[in-house]
This record gives sequence, structure tokens and C-alpha cells, in this order.
Amino acid sequence: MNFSKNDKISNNQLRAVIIAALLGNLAISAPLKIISISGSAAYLSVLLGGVAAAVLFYLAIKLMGASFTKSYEDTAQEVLGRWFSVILFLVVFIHIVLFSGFQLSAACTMVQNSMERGVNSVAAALILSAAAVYMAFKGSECSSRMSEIASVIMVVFILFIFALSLPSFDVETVKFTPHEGVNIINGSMFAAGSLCASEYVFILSAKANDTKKSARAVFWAFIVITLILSLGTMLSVNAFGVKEAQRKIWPVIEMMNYTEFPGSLVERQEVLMSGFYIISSYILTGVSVYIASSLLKKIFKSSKNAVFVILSAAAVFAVSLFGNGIYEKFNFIYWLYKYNVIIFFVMMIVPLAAYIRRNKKCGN
Amino acid sequence: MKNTNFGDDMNLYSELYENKQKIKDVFTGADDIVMREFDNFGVKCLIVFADNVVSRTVIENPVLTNIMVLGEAQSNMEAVATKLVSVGETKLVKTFEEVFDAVLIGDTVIIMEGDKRALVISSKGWPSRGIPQAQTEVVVQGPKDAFMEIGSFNTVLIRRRIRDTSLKVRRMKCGRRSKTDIAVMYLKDVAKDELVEEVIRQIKSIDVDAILDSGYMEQFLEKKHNSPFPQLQMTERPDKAASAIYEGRVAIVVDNSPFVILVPSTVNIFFQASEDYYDRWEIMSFLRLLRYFAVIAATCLPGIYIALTVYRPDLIPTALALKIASSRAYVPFPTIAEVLIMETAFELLREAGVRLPSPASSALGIVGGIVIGSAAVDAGIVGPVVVIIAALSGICSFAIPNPAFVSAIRLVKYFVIFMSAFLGLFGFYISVFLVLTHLASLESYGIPYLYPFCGGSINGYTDFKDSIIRAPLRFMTKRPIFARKGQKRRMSNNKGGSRK
Repeated sequence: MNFSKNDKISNNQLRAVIIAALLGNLAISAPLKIISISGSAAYLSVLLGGVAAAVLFYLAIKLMGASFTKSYEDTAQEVLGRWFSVILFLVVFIHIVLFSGFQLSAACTMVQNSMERGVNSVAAALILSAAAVYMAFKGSECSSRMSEIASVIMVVFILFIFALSLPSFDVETVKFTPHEGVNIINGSMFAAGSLCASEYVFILSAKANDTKKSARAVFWAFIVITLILSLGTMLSVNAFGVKEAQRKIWPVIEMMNYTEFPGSLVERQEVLMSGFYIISSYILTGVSVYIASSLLKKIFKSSKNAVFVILSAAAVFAVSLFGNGIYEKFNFIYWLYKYNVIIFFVMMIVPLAAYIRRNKKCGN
Repeated sequence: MKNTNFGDDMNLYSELYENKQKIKDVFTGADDIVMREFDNFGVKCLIVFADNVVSRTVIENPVLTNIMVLGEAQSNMEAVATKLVSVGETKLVKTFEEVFDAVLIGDTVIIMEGDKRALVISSKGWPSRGIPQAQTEVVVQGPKDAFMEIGSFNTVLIRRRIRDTSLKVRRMKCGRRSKTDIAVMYLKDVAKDELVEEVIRQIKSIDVDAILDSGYMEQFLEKKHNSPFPQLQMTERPDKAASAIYEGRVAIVVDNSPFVILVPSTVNIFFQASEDYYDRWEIMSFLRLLRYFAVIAATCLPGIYIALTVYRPDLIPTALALKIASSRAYVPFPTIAEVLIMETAFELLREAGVRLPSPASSALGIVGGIVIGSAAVDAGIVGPVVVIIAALSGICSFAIPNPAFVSAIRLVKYFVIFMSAFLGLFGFYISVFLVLTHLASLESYGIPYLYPFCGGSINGYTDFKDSIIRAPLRFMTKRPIFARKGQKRRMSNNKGGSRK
């Protein structure tokens, strides 16, 4: 009776999960660094890096689709053997826990800053982790359905903010000169790295109902994220100027405060709009806990879902306690963005090995 | 289901005396069971029926008069059935269990000396109150009739609207002792086979003393019984049930209940009223939007009021913030208590209004309105803004056409209130996300509860035409997701007879 039997998700849901989990979190952290690298042409860096990441994932999933008949985890165990796959799972587990933990920390810092008396960042992280446990318990179908709603809400409201900001847009502020080319390339490499969330893409796309079309779904997810991120970067540079925009922790949302919204019943709309970042963090944490727990289950060869979900959530929460230092010089998220690319190639070992093995079998 | 009450399914005896004795033993103390011996021109017979449950006209004219006065002597029950009894529905049975079941549901049983079979004559004549008007799903335009407590009448009300040979009615009994009649109705070529089989399997697997209402059945059929949200739809409107069957859904008619269960159900269905399809699409789409807004307001308004006034008053426009502050100056309670007092008072009024007879409930409404609207504010117990918030939230909940869904919203509202009170705006957001996650985890017979807002692609997004807006009927060419493959189209390509 189920439309998505065996914990499978549709390709639209796959696209939605990627958008919902990454869009809000990237919009918090990525533009600051990219603007500091590329200046007024940061939007172009985002565009180039985003398209590169989209193409890279498209090709990678095409390769994966051609070699996979099972889930990513099962294929890894099959082609790499027990111990190599355990090492791979551990590396991916650590990366995913660090990535979502620091993103959670950044989001919760924002909660503390924007909602002040409501809750402090540690309590916010704890509550979000607990909520993520609930979502992870329900499985990938629940997370993906929730992501479908979250992605639509986020995209609609972010575009709404953009639409309100557009009348004051001045093309002069985002013009760039050819000698900025190196900076643009550097920025685009950072942008591509920040978009390389391969754990989510590889593991979830192997769970898609129709793996033949999952490459296209992932491609469009990254294109949507790239376009919104690029437009947001452009508008925030226009609104605040290059120097000021680098200091804004959440420029897209803060624009709302500087934008006239006729007939608004609320002053400082940006605080209400910050809910979109929280939902993105919630989805990211929930999906991360789900993926991390599925990796732990494979490592320990166990089916005790509850134990591993709680363990993974505890790990994410523990990482979030370290703090991200989003204003400081050393930023863990930026550091992880660089390592995203390495993890991408580490994870690619599995589809490549599966592909080679399959070709060998065909040759025999 | 075996008749465990009587202990066995023994065959009837050929001796009339023995049969009579056995029936007498079983019905000892049941004074409403009538047993009478009579004579078919020399052959001894016994008639058994339940008093006031059967139609006396059926027993007296086409049965007793024919057998005793107008007919002739017959040697066996089969001959009596074919030659003497002029009633549409008769059947021969062989066991006591079948005899007892027949008597208890209002049929008449005739047993003949020397025959090991009994003749069951359909003679149900239960007392009924006539076809009532809809009470909980009232419409301005459209049919006014509603289901009643007699299941077989309810199936008739549905059949009247579906004159199609594909309409199937699968009858069964549920409840060890109540033996409640259940009818599962569906269109054979439209409903999915696996859905029908699953519903029937579930009903057959229910092992309980009694099914007294379709509410019992609903709770047994729901997959997640810990959720406040209804996962099956209950309706008292035959047109709604018929429309659901046309879409490929299954209707479960439970005897003794004026509500019919419709499966599967999605959240979107609870926003649909029968009237939506009887009037122009523009106004009905506007009303749909209004209902969605009403649900959001009914759930979130008190919570967001608390989050903003307690934690972030700086977000409220200054003039309004000052007014709220001045109106609360003499209120001795914190905002959460104020909101809870008003909400609880409103709930009490609503509950009392439902239980009271109609004239008294309107009086209660007036008294309650005055007390809440004026006296509570004058006494300084609550501020006027909280009265407006509670009233708005209450009114919004009345705009939703399904009472079961309204009840869930009423409950969820308190969760949002508490989370907002403890954690401010963050708590408000988290509570909304958790409710949405819970809804995302629900399914009704394999269909995501949040469909078409989740998984809309399963049916090519066509179901969005009947979701937040209601598209013109001629554009709704395809059946919703519930229909089986190959039966998706419900309208021909000419889109319903448009004029040249």
C-alpha cells in the first residue's frame, strides 16, 4: 500500500531535502566568506561554484545510478569489504556530525541573538537536537515530506524578501573589474566546497525510488540553491556594501529590517523571518541524525534504531557545544567547507569501485 | 465471526419440539422474543421473531395469512418459501446460530415439523426517525439529507446517488456480542483492490464485544492511535460519501451510527465541504483559502501573541504595544494565565453549549458572551486584547468543516501556547515544526497525510487543483490519487460539455 516502500523517497523529495537542509544554513554562513574573498563579485563566485558543484554531483550520481542496485551503505560493504567500509563510514559519520553540529551551533547563536530573552544557544541546540531525534525516528519518508514543505516555505519567503529589496537595487554596487578574476575563481572554489554536502546527496539519492532520475533532481536542487544564494549575495552587497555585508551574520534576513514592508503588523520583520533559518537547521540536523544513525547501524551490524538515533543526536549536540565562532577568525564551518571536497572524493570510492567491479563481471 | 454467545453452530433438529426447546433455552429471559406455533393445514410450524424489531405487516399479510389461510399444505420449507411466502428476500438456513442471528437482526424465522432447515424471511422494521437534516456539515446550497442510525438506509442513500453496477456493497458483522452490521461500499473498477482488501481484512480482524458507533470502528482502523489528528474521515452527508466513492475511496457504513467512515483520508480532505463543488469556483476557492488561514490562526494566534508580548514586545508596532500594555495594566495575571483562562472559558462554553438543549444553549451563548466579552475585562481578570485573540481563535476553528479535525486543532493550540510561553518565538517555531513533522509521519492507507502538499508528484500534481484553491470543475478532469491506475480520468476530453 505504501507509495514509498522500504524507506524510499521520491526524486522530488530528494530535491526538497537538499534545498531545505542546505539553503538556510548556507545562506547564513557561506556569503560572509565569499564576499570577503570575491568582494562585490561574490554573487558571480557563488554562481560559478554552484554550477560546478551541480554538474559534479550530476555526473557522480549518474555513475552511482549505473553501479548501484542497493543503498550506498550496502554497496559500500559489498564492494569494499567489512573493515574498509567501516573506516569509510566512520570518516563520513565524523564529518556529518561535525558539519551538522557546527551548523546547529551557528543557527542557535542566531536564535540567541535574534530572540534574546526566549532561549540561549545551548538550550536551543538541545531542543533542536531533541526535535531532530523525533524526525529521525520517523525515517527518511517523514524527513523528506517535512523537507518538501520547508523548502517551499523557505524559497517563497526568501524570494518575497528579494522582491521587496529589488526596488532599491543599484547595478553600480555589484559591478566588477577583470582584475578581480583571481578572487572570483577563489571565491567560486570556496562556494563549490561549501555546496559539496556529499553525505546527504550520495546516501539519500541511493534511497530514491527512481535512481535513474535522481541525478537530475540533485542537479536542479543545487541550481535552485545557487541562484537564490547568488541573488541574495548580490542584494546584500547592494544593501549593505561590501564591508558591512561581511559583518552581517545573516545578511539575507537582515535585509528585511531595512526594507519597507507596507502594512506590516510587525516591526523588525527579520526576527520573524529568522524562523526560516531555524527550520533549515532543524531539517539539516534531523536528516544528519538519520544518516549518521544509519551509518552507525551498519558499523555495529545492529538494527537498534532508537539507540543509534539518540547516540547520533547526542554527538551532534555535543559538537554544537564547542561553538562555531562565526565572528571569529577561525571558523569551523569554513574549515569543514574546505574538507567537503575531500569527503566528496572519499565517498566517490564506492561508486567507482562498484562500477569497476560490475564492468569486470560483464567482461568475464 | 462465530456466535460465541451461544457456544456452538449446531444443526437444527427435524423435531419441531426439540428446536423450540433449544431456542427457548437460549432466549430465556428475553421477553421480547416472540415464539408462536401455528398450523399449515395439518403441518406444525413455529414462527420466531423479535418484537418491535420486525415489521408486523410483513409477518401478518404475506407470511402468516398465506401459510395459514390462503395456501395449501406443504411438505418442506423450500416449498413454503417458493409457493407461500410472498416476500422479496428469503433464505434457508441449517444451524441454530443462523437462526439466532436472523432473529436478533429483525428477520422472521419459520421452522417446520420434520424439516431440518429453517426459513429466514427478511422483515426488518426497526423504529427510525426518518431521514434527518445534516447537523455538523451544514450547507447553504446543496442536498440537506443526512445519514441516520439504520445502516441499510444509509447504503440506500448512497446507492441513490451511484446508479452504477460497479458499486459493490460487501456486508459483514463486527462485534462479538453486538454483531453490528457493517457495509463496505466502493466502485469495483475505480477503487484499488489492495485498499478494499485491506479495509475488509482490518474490519474482520477487530475482535471486540461491541461496535456501538462508527467512532469505535474509526479508532480500530486508525494506524496511529496516539495522534490527535483524524486519519479517517467521518461524514454525515450522503453526497459526500458518494463523491468519495466516485474518487476511488471506500465508504464504511456502520449500523446504529449516523456517520459513515471514508478511507483513505488526507489533511486536505478535512478542508473540503460538499458545498465547494455546488457553487462557483472563484468564491469557493476564496473560502478554501479562508479555511486554511483559519486553521493557521486557530492554532497559532494565542501562541504568537504570548511569544510577542512576553518575549519580544519590540516587534509589535509601538502604538499597538502601548495599547496592549495599558490594557493589561490592571490585570493581576501573567499573559500565559490570562490566555489560558480565556481559552478554557471558551472551551467550557463550547462544551456546555453542545450538551444543552438548543434553546438553553443559545441563552448560554449570550450569557457567556457577556461574561467573557465584558465582565471579565471590567473585573480586570483579563485584558481586552486577549478576549479578541481567544474569540478570533475560536471563530477560526468554527470555519473548518470537519469536527474531528477541529478537535485536534483545539488540542494542538495548547501545545503551541505552552511552548511559546516557555521558549518565546523559538518555542513557537519549534512547536509548529514538531506538529508538521508529526503530520508528515502520518499515513492513511499508504497515502501521506499531508498529500498533496507532500508527495504531490505521485499523481502528477493534479490534486493541487482541489487543495488550497478549488479549480473550475471542467479542469478537474482526473480523479484524485485514491483511484486505481487506468481509472484516473473522470471527465471526457470535451471537459464536461462546454458550448461551441
